[in-house]
Amino acid sequence: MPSAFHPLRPSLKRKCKSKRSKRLSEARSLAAADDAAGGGGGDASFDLKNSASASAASGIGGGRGTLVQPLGNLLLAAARRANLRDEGLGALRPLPDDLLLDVLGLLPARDLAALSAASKALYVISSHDPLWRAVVLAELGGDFAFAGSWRATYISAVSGRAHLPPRALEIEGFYSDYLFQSWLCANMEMRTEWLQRDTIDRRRGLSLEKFITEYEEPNWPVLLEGCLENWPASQKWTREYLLEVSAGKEFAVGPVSMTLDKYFMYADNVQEERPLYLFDAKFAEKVPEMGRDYEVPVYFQEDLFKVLGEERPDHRWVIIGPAGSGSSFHVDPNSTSAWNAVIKGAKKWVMFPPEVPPPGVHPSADGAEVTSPVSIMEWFMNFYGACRTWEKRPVECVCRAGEIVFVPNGWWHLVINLEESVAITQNYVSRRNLLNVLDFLKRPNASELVSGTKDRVNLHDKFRNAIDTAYPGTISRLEVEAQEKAAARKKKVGFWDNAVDANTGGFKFTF
Amino acid sequence: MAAAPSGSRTRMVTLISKGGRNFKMPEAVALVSSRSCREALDYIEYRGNNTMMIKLLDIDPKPVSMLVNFCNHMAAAATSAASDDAAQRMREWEERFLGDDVDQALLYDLLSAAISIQADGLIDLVCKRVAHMIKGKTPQEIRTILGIQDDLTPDQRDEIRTDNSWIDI
Repeated sequence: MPSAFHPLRPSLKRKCKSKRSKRLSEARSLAAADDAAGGGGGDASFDLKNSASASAASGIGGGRGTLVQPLGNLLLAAARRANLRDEGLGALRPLPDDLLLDVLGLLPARDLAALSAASKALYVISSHDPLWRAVVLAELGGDFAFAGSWRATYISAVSGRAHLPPRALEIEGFYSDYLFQSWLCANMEMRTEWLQRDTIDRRRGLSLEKFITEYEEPNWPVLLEGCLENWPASQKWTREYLLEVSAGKEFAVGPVSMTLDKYFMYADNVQEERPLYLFDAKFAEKVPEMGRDYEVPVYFQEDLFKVLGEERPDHRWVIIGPAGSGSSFHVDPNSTSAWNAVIKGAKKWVMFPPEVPPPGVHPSADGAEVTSPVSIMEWFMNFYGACRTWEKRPVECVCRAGEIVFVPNGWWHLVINLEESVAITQNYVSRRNLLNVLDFLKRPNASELVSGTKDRVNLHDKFRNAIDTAYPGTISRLEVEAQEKAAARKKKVGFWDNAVDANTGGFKFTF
Repeated sequence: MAAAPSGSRTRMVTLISKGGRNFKMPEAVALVSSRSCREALDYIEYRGNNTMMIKLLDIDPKPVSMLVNFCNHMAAAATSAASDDAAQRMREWEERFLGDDVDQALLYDLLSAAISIQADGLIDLVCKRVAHMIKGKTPQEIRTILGIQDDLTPDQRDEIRTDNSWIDI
């Protein structure tokens, strides 16, 4: 008699429930599988990373290699064959793959190993590397030496260095769209046509006044060139320098903290669908020298959250990540605007205005979460094409070293690193979006939505009072101006045919 | 959430199992556990007999009745205050609900029913139960429980054993 069904691994963060909605309401597109099947193994239709092609051919390496094929291949196979999955899972066969992985995600490493020895099909499933990633992060935190795959990493860590990293067995005949899609996303490179459109305004030497009237007030994105020339970081921030200056300090990487040398060891060897991203809000406190190596560009220096002093929400991050790392579609918190400066590397950006949720992205009704968060690669594979036929096309660009992207408040954005990149980003509140921010903080569910601060409920009152103290009369003046503008705007034809108001900054669910 | 029209009976949700058997629960109960029902409210209009019908025609009556049982229990628990005691009682209820008498076939049918109406809480519970079934077992025990053959070749078995020599299985 089981004694209790409490979670079997302590404090393991389960996949969020939104995954279920994704599974049920949206096909893990068979289009991708058909493409790959028709392309005779995938290389013709998808740009696989070189290492993936090699391991696919020979079936060896720390990764999955040829362990999983899409279901389409089963249908098109010359000879009649059964799916290894059916026989090999036995009573577990009725479970869809994603639930099967949820079950395995509850088990500690020992049980994953036992499963892998039970049958070929169970071997394939239990060597799914994301399972082992969860094991490493839960049991070792940030203290791991990445060994090419998460499974190898875990086994090396627990058994000491003498142990050889595990090899992937060659097993044929296992078909699964879910697992194949996962492998594909982990091993694909960005296709050239996804990188071709560059529709953002590029400006150099823009005056502050022009920036405000042409971009900040209308709440429209822009890419600014030539702003980082005076930043010490542009010259100084080599890997060697960063390692030296941050020695021993741990940075926030996903759910764990780790030192930069361990992070680079991971970044240099990783190949997965959602690489861990170094994203630290306290880098300037941890390494003051890094905080001195850059300065806020003149366009963004008015930052009213400053009035809150120490109690302001998190506002500046250093971002480091390998090619393939990034953020899938989201809107920045607290209705703030943001800027993102690339010091090294290159990032692809796709942005949609506040009233236009991107294809494949479904905010919940209260805006508190995004249901169905597909990975970046999956979004490009399955949804990017839809944008081309939309009237409301996104603003896109590739932002390279020395350039800054301005992200207006409320705008949806997706970012992916095209090579190893180092960047700094800050969120801020200027007079132009002060009212939006106050409105946002006033909302009844603000305590859930407001992020980056410990004191969620009172932030609105604190902020408003602090502004009234520091800049008396400002809020009332802005409110009057806003009313006048709203009256004038009603007569103007909107930028897009249904008069999308990019200035509302609010987060509304429309369909 | 739309309010029930005044003067009408309580709105119900009816699940129809294989064989045409009906299992009813109040709409409020269904809303606690079923994401499909919550999302459907935005779209559907109630007419006539005030019941939302959900067809689960390929699922046996027993798992469907268990599903309704689960929903009723969760709705009742949601109204009482949270406490360590309440949490303990919930765990005990869950153990009885998916006790030894629930064989694997029933378990997976129940899972299908839960998936059909997106009852995330029950899906999670079944997953935990399945994981518990596997935990701590040797490969041979796993094969027995799941009813599978060992189809690995001797070479593969050796390689797996080497890979897993760090642990005693």
